[in-house]
Amino acid sequence: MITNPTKQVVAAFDALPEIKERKKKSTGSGMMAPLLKKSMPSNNKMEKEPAFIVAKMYQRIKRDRMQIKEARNNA
Amino acid sequence: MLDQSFNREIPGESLTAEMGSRPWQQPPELTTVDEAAEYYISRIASDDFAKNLIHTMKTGVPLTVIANSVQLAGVMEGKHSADVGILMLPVIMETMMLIGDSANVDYDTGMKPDAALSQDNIAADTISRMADNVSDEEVIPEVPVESMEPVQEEPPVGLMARRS
Repeated sequence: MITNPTKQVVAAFDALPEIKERKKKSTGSGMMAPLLKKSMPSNNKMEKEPAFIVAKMYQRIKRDRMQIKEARNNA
Repeated sequence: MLDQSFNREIPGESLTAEMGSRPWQQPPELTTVDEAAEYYISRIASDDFAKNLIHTMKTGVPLTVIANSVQLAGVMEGKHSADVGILMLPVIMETMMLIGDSANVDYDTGMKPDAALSQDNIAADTISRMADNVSDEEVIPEVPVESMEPVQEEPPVGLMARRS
């Protein structure tokens, strides 16, 4: 029997909180610059996970779709 | 008339081909979700696919069914592995919904809970059926238990019999 997991997978991704774009740390100037560069590496290990990438992609497409829908409703 | 239930694959038929001869037994072409997403988004957004998709949407086929078919075909063609296919489902669904909304088509996402199959309904249905069974049960008449008389054993006879 072929099962369809789409509903569960999409519902799970839908339930995730919105992932906001991170601001890049300004480490180029200032007194703390040398310290920040060395001891504060950006914690981007999670961001390289496939599920995280997909979640970000999904939310971006959804945002675009909502904008199209909104524009259509306003027109 | 031929019984359709017999018109199926023989168990183990998938194992009769030589190992590695099928596309899904080869290393996948697209190994990362980024590559797979790019492949699917460009494919779904192509004119031919979008045209057919809108037509299918109008017929009322749920998008969950189309999305699963699309990713399964990708696995079958050896484009990506099964786990990448599962991760691609939300992206495929959302891209298809984007196309549907852009074309202003009413579509069935397939995400609404099925009223007939929701957990609460199943539980309520089972309980009502059990209640019906209890009320419909035949009342078994009680059988009077006959008094058992002790059976008198005959004294053993023969050469090896113990003498009392």
